Amino acid sequence: MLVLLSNKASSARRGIIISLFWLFCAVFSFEAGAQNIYYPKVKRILFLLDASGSMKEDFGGKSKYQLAKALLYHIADSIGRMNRNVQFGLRMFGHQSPKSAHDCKDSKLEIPFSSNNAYLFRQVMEKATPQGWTPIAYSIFLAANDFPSDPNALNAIILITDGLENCDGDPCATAILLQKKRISLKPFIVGLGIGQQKGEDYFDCVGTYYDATDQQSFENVVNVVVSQALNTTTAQVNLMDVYNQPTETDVEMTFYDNYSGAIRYNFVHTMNSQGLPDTLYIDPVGKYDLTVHSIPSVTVSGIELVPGKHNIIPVDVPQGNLKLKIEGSVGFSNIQCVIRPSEEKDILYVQDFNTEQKYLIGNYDLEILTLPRIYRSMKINQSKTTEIQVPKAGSLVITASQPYIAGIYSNHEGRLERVYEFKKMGKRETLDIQPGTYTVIYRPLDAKEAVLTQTKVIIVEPSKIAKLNL
Amino acid sequence: MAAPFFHKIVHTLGCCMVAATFITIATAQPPKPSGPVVTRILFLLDGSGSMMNKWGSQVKINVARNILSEIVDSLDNVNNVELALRAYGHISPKGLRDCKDTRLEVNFGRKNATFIKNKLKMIHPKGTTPIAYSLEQAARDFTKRANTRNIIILITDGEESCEGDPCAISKEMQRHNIFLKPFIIGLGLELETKEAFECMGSFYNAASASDFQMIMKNVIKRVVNRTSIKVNLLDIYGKATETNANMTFYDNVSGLARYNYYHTQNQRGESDTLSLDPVNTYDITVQTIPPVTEKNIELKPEESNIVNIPTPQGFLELKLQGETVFDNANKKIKALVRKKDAFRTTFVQEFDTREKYLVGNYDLVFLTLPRIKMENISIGQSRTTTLQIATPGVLTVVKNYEGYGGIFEEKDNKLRKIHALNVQSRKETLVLQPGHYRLIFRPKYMKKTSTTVDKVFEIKSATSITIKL
Repeated sequence: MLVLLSNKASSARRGIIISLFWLFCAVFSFEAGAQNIYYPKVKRILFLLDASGSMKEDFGGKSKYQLAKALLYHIADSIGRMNRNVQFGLRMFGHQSPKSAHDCKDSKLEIPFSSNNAYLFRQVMEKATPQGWTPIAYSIFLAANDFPSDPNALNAIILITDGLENCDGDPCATAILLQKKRISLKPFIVGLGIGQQKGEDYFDCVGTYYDATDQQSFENVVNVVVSQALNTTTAQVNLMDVYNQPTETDVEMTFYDNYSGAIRYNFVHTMNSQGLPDTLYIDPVGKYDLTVHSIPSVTVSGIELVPGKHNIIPVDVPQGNLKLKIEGSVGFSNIQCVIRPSEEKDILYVQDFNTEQKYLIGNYDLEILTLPRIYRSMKINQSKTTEIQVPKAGSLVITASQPYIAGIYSNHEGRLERVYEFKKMGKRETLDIQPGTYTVIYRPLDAKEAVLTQTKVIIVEPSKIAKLNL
Repeated sequence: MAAPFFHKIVHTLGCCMVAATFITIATAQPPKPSGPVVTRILFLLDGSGSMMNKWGSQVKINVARNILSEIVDSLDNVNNVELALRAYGHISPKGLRDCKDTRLEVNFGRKNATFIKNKLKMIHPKGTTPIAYSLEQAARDFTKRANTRNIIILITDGEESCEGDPCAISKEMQRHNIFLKPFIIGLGLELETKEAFECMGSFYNAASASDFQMIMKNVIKRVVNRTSIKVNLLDIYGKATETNANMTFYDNVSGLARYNYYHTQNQRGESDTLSLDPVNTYDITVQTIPPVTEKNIELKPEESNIVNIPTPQGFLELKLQGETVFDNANKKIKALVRKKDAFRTTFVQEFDTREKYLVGNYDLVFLTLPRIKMENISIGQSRTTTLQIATPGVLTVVKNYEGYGGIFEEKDNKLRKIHALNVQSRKETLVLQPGHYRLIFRPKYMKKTSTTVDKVFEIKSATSITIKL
C-alpha cells in the first residue's frame, strides 16, 4: 500500500487551474476524452445513523440521538440550500424493533436522495425512537442500493454510531464489496464515545474513523467529514529520478482499477507551466494500480486517494537515454537493435537505429541485427545519453558465372563464423554487410566433388561497394 | 563422440602431389597456387652427452645414425621432398653448459642423402639439450618459399635442459605457419616425460631400436602420403544423407582453418572423399545452424578415414497467412531463433524464407509489433515446419504537433507499450499485427495532462488506417 501525502497549498489554486484548462482546450481543439478529467455532477452523502438503544444515553447534557438529529438537519439544510449539486439521504438502524426483539434486520432507508430534503430530516428523526440492536454490516450492505445508479455522481457514506456491530455481521467484508463495485468512497465513521484506539482498531478496514468525545468535537468531526466528502479530490504523480527528485516526465501512465483490473485513465505525464507535475482530477472512489509505461514499465499497486485532498503519488522511474547511431548517417534506418536487461533472455524493446529512446537506468545487453550481428553491453545513467555507434554497412556485390552454393564467413581469431549463405546464387547478388574481412566459400551447386570448393577473401569498407567475381 | 576409422585404400608416394593442390586452397586463402607442393623435412637430432649411453646392445647415437641413414636413402629419389639435418648438444662439452649449442649441419636440397649420412657420422654427442632454442633456430632453416609443407622430426633421448619452453615455441611456430605439427620420437624416455613432449607435437616413445625403426617409418609415411577422409553427415537415423554444408577443418594446435569443403555427394550418392594433410590433427566444424564441431580427428596415413558427424536437419519456413500488400513497410519482418532455453540467438530468419536447422526444439520471437513468441517449436528430420502469422495491417499516424506518446496493445484489460512514437516526426507508418490498440499522445508544448489523447483503434489484416492527431 502506498502512503499518500496531501498537499494543502495546491488546493487553493484549483479553481483557477480548472478554468485555464478549458481555455487551452478550445485554442488547441484537443478533445480531452471525457475520461481524462473526473468531474462529478452530483455528490451524494448517505448518513447511516445508529438508533440502537444506547443512543438514548446522555452525551454532555443531551442524548446522543438528540445531538445527531440537530446536527444532521443543520448540515442537510445549510449545504443543500447553498449547493444544488449535493444531495443527502438517511438510513437508520435499530429504530424499528425493541431490544428484546433482537431484530438484526432492523435497518431502513428513511430519506431517499433528493434535493432540498432537509425538512424531511427533522420530520423523520423526530418520529423515530432509538431502541434496538446495531446491525452495521447489514446496513452497509443495504446502503449500496440506496444510491441511484448514476455514473456522474460521487457517493459517500457517513456512519454515525456509538457502538460496534453486535449482530454477527462483518462490516469489513461489506465495506470491501462497496469498494470493489466502486459504489462510494470508503465510509467515514464517526464514533460517539467509543474511544479513538478502540474505534480505529475496529473500523480500520471499513473506512476512516473519527472519534467524538463531546458535543463540540462531534459537530467538528462531522463537518470535517462532510467537507472532505464534498471537496474535489486531486492527485499528482511524481516520477522520481535516481536522486529522489520528481524530474521525470513525458511518459504514458495508466490507472487501472485495483479490483476489476479495468483501465480507468490514460495520461501522458506532464509538467505544468511551473515545471511541477501537473494536477490530475481522478475519481477518488476505489483503489488503483498505476503503471508508468517507461521501458521497462513500473507498476505501483493499491493506491488509495484521500478524499477531498491533494494526493501525491511517487513512482521511481529513473531514466536515461539510449542513442543508436550509424556512423555518418542520419534519418531512417532499417537496422534494428534488440534490447534486453543485462543477463535476461526476454526482449525488452526493439529500437531502430538513428533514433533515441529512454530506458530505466541500469545495465542492458544489445543485439544489433546487422550482418553479422553485433553484441554490446551498456549502461543507462540518470539523465545521460548513452550513444552506441555502428559503422555504416558496405555493399558486397557478388557476380557468378554459374549457380553456386556460397557462404560468407567472418573470422574471429581464426574461427570462421557463418554470416550468410546463398542456397543458390543468382548471377548477381547484393548484400549489405558490416565493414570487415570476409571469406567467401563456394562450390558449384550441382558439383559431385567437394574438391571444387573454392575460397576467396574480400574486404568490405563502409559505404563502399566491394565487388567479387566468382 | 568417437570417430571410427576404416582402413581401405593404400596410396603411393606419388599421391602427395595431388594432395598438395588442396592444401594450398586452405592455407593460402587467396588464389589457388599452381605447381606441386614441396615437402621439406628437417631432422633435428639430439647430440647431447646421454646419446653415448647404451640402449640394449648398442649405443643410442649409433642406432639413430643407422636408422636415419636408412630413411634418408629411401627418400632420396622421391619427387618434391627435400631434407635437412640439424643437431644440438654436439659442439660444446657438457661442462660448458652451452645452451646455444645447435647447428644446421645439412641445408635443404635435393638428393642430399649422402651428405646427410656423412654428417651423421661426424656428430659426436657431448653437450646439453637446448630443444626450445633449437626449434627457434630451426624456424630459420625453412627459408620462405611458396608451396611448401615444413616438417620437423625431432629425435631425442632427453628433456629440455636449458630452461626453454619447447611447447610454447612449437605452438607459436605452428600458429605462424612456419612448420606443421612436429613429430617427436623419444629414444627410451622415461614415461613421466610424456606430457612434456605431447604438447609439442605428435609424440612417440621408442622402447627399443627396432621399435624406433618402425616408428620412424610410420612417421615418414604420414609426412609424404596424402590421406583421404570421408565425412559422413548423419541424419537422425544414423544414415549419411545430409549434405551441402560447408565443413571447416581447423588445425587442432594452431587453430588455423586449413580447409573448407562444401560437403557433397558423389555420383554414387555417397559422401565425397577429401584429401587432407595427415600431419595435422583436426577439429571439424560443420557449418550448419547451429554449427557442429567434432574435435581431435587424427588421420591415419595411407588409409581412407571415415568420420561420422551427426548433423540431422530439417527445415523451418516462416510465412504470413496472406500476401504482404504494403510496399511502404520497408522492413522485412525477422524472427530471432534460438535453441530452446538457450541464451543467445542461433539465427535470424526473415519472413518468406526457408532455412535448415539441426533437428530439435527452438524458441522463436517474431519482431513484429507486438512481438510474437512461439516456443518449443520442433524441427524434425527432413521435414519442413511451417510457421504462419497473421498478415499485418498498417497504421499511419499524422501529427500536427510534435509530442510524446506510444502505441499500446490492449489485451486482457492490460496496456502494454509496443512502440514509442518519435517525438519530432510528424508522420509515422507502422506495421501492426491484427488486434486492439490504443494510441496515447500529448503535444510536446502542452502543460496540461488533460490534453492527453487516448484513441482506441483496431487493426485488421491487410488493411490500412490513419490516425490524425
